[in-house]
Amino acid sequence: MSNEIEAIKDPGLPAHVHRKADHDPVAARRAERQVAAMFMISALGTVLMIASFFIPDDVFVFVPVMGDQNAHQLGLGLGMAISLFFIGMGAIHWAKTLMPDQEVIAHRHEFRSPDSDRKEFVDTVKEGAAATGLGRRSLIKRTLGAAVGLSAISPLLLFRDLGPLPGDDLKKTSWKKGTYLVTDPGDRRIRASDLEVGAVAQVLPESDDPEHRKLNDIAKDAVLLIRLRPDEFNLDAERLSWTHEGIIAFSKICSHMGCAVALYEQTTKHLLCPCHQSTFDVTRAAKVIFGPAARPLPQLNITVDAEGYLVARDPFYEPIGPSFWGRISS
Amino acid sequence: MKRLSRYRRHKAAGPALLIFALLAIGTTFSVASANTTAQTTTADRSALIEEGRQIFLKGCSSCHGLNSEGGVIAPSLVGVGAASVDFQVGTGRMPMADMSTQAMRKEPLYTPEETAALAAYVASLAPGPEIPTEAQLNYERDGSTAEGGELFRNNCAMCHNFAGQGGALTQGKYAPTLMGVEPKHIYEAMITGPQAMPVFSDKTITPKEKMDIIKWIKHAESEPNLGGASLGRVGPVTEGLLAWTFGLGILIGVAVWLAMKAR
Amino acid sequence: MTTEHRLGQVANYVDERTGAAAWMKKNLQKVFPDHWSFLLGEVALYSFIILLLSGTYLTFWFDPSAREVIYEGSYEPLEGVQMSAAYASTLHISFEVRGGLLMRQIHHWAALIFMAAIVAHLMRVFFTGAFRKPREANWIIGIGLLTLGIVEGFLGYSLPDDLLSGTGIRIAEAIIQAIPVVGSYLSYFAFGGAFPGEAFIPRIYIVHVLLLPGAFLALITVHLMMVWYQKHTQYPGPGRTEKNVVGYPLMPVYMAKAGGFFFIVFGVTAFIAAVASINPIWLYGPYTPGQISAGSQPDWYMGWLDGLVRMAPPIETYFFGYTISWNILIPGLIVPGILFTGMALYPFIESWITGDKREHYLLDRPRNAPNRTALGAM
Repeated sequence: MSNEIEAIKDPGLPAHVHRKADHDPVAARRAERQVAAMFMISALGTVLMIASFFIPDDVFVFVPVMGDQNAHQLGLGLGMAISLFFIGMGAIHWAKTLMPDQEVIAHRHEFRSPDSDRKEFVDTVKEGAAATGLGRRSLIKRTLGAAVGLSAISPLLLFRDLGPLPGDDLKKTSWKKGTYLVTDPGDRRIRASDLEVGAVAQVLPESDDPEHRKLNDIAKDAVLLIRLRPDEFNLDAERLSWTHEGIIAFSKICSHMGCAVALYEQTTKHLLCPCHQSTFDVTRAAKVIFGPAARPLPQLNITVDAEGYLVARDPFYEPIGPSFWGRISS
Repeated sequence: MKRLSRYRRHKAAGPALLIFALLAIGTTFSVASANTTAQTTTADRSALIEEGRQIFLKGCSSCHGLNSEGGVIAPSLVGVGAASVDFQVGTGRMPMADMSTQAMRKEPLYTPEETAALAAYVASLAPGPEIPTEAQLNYERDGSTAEGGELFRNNCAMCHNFAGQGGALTQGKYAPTLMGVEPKHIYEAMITGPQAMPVFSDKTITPKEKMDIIKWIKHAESEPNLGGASLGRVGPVTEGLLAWTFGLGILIGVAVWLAMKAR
Repeated sequence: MTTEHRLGQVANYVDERTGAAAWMKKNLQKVFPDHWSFLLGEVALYSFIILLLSGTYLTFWFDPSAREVIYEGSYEPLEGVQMSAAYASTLHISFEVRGGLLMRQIHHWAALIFMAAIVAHLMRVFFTGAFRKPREANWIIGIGLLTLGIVEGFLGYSLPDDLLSGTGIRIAEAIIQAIPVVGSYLSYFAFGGAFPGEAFIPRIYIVHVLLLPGAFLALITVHLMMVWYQKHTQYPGPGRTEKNVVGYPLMPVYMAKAGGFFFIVFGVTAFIAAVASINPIWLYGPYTPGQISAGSQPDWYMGWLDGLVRMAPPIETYFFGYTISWNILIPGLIVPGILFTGMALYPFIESWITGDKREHYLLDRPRNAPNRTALGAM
C-alpha cells in the first residue's frame, strides 16, 4: 500500500453566483421595498408599545391556546418585540440582498514573531532583571518577599467580621423542656385529642412574640407532628417513650440539605423530602429508607401537660438539619 | 356496498377496519354498562340508607366486603364517615377503575342522589367525618385569600405544589391537581385524608382556616397568568424547555437564514 | 456641506488626537466567515447585553434587603403577609411598575437563553475542534464564562427571596456547611450568622450586579479580542486554507448582519417575555424555611447539580466526633470540580493524546473527528 497521499489541489473559491438584485433593477427595488416594509412594521410595533403603556392593567383579552391575557402586558411586550425584531430583519435582509456579497479573502499572518524580535525581547528582559540587582542582593529579595506577602494576607483579616463564629449555635434550637407545641400558622396550643389517627400538623415552639418570629429560628425549630396507632410503631423502648399515644414528633428540617420534609404519606407512613427525594420511615423513628440523606430526622421527645396540651420533654438530643464537620456523630 | 368493496385492497383498509372495530366494541360496552346502572337506580327508594346499602352490595362489596369490613384489597369503611364516601364517589375515584397504587379522579359513576344514598349508608355503620354544611363552605364571604395562601403554603404546597398543580410522591403515588375540584370535595379531602393524604383535623386547621384555603385555591384557579402563558405553573423545568426549544430554536433558525445566500 | 465633508472633519479631529485612521481602516475591512453555527456565540453576547440593559432597569426599583415588611401592594392574595423588602419590591416591580413585569421577564428569559447559547456555542467549538492551538486560552476563558454564568444566574433568581429560590439558597448553604473543618465557619461568614440571616441578600446583590458583571465584561472583552486578533476559524471548503480567512468585511456587511442579529435576539427575547410567564414569584410566596413546594427545582443550567445530589449514595463517615458528608461533598464539589477542570484542560488533554501540536484554523467536521465527537456525545 502506498504511503503517499496525493494532496487535493485547492480549487480556489467557486465562481461567484450573482443575486437577482445584482443584475435586475426591478428585483433590487423589490428588495429595497421589502427592507423598507420591515422597518415600517418595526415602527408600528413601537406605536403599539406606546399605546399599550396606557391601557389600564385590569383589561384582559382572550388569546387562543394561551387563554385570558392581560392586554397591557401583552401589548407592551409584543410591541417591543415587533419593533426590535423587524429592525433586525430589515438590516439582515438589506445586507443579504443589496450589500455586496462577493466573498473576500484575507490572509493569515503567522503569530510567531521573527527570531530577531524574540532575541531582543529575551535580551531586554534579561538586562532589566540584571539591572534590578536582585540576583546579587538577596537581602532585598527576601525582605521584599516578606513585605509583599504580609501585606497581601493582612486585608483578609478585615473580613473577619463578615459573620460571628458559629460556636454551638448550630447545635441548639428553641426547644427546651416544657416548651409548648403550637400550630404553624395560628400559634395555637395542641391537645393530643386534636389529632386523629393519620393526621399531621405543622408545629413551632411557643413564642413570646409570635407575630415576629425570626426566620433563623424557624429554620431550626420547625417540627412535624404525626399521629399513628400506637401499635404501628417499630421503635425501641426509649424512642417509644418519646411518643405520646401514637403521636410522634420529628424535626421538619431535612438531615440532608435542610429543605422542609413535610410530605407525609399516610398509607405507607413515609416522609418524603421533595428536594432530593430522601424518604424516611416514621414507624422506625424516621430511618432513611431511600435517597441521599445519611441520617434519620431527629425525633423530639414529647408528652402532655396536666391540661392535655402537647409539650416537649427535652431539647433535641442531637443537632438538627444538614451535617457539618463538628457535629457529634450519631 | 359494491362501491365500498372496490377499496377492499386499499392500504388504509386494514387500519380503518381496526379503528372501526375498536369504536364499535367501545361504544357497545359503554352503552351496555350504562344500562346496568339504570337498572340499579330503579330499585326501591323507600329509605336512603337501604338504597345506599343496595348500591353498596352491587358496586362496592366485591372489594370492601359484604359488611364493609374490608379485605386484602380494600380497607374497611366502618367509621370513614359520609364525607369520605361523598369525596371518593363524588370525584369518581370510587369505584376504582384500575387496581394500581392510587385511585384516579375521573367521571363519577354514580349520580349525586346515589352518592348521597351511599354516604348515608356508610355513615350509618359508625360515626365519622360528616359532609360539610353550607356554613362551612361559605368561603366567598367568610374566607380570607391571603391567610389561605399562608395556610396553603404551610400545609398543602409540599405535596400539591405552590399553585395546586399537583406533585409526585413515592412509587407511583401522586398528589393530584387541585384545579377544577369542587369546594365541597376539597373540604372533605382535608378532613378524611384519602389514601396517601394525611388528615387535617378541624382542631389543627379550623373550619374557618379550611375556608381560607379553599378560597385561595379557587382564587389561584381563576387568577389569569399575568406575564403570559403559564407553562403549567410547575416552575423552572418547563421554562428551561421553552428557552431551549422555542428560544434558541427560533434564533438558530434566524441564524441559518442569515448565513444563507440570497437568491 | 456634504455628509462626506462632515464625516471627513470628524475623522480628522479624532485622527489628529489618536492616530486612529490606520487601525480603523484595517479593522473595518476585517473579514469574518459566514456560517450559522458561528452565530451561537453572538446569541450569548447579545443576551449578555440584554441582561445588562434589563438588569440595570430593575435595579432602579429593586430593594436588596431582607428587612421584614408587611405587604401593602395591589396583589390581594398576599395582603398583610410578612415578607422581606426584596420580595416586596419584586412584587412592586411586577404589579405596579408599568413595564416592570415585562423587564423582569426579559431579564430572566435572556438569562436562560444566555446559558443555552453558551452551552450550544461550547458544543459547536468542541465538536469542530476550534479550541486547538492557538485558541486554548480562549477555551479556558469560555469555560470560565460558563461557570460564572451558572453562578450569576443562580444568584440572580435568588434575589427576589421567594420560596423556590430560598430553598435553592438553603441547598447552597448546606454544601458550604458540609466542607470539612471550615464549613460552618464559611457558612456563618457568608450568611452573616445562622441561615437565612439578613446579610445574604444584600451581599449576593453586589456580587450579582457589580462583581460578576465586571468579571464578565473583562472576560468577554478578552474572549472577543482574541477572536478578533487571531481571526475566526472557518469550515474547510474550496478556496479555504489554513492560511486565509474567506468571508465578508466588517463594514458594511458584517455590521449589518451582526448588528441586525442583535435586534433579532432582543426581539425574540422580548417576544417570549411577552407571551410566556416566567418565575411568577407571587404564586411561590415569600421564603420561609418551614415551607416547601412539591417539584422544587433550580433553573435548567443548575439541573445537573441537582441531579448529582439526588443520585449520590447516602454516605457519611464519622471519626473522633467529626463528620464528613460524602453524600454532599462528592456531588456538590468534587464531581463538579473534576468535570469543569477537565473541560477547561481539554485542549491540552487532547493534544497530549493525539500528539497534535500544530496550529489549526480550519475546523473539523464532527464526523471527521470520531473520538472527540464520541466523547462529547457521552
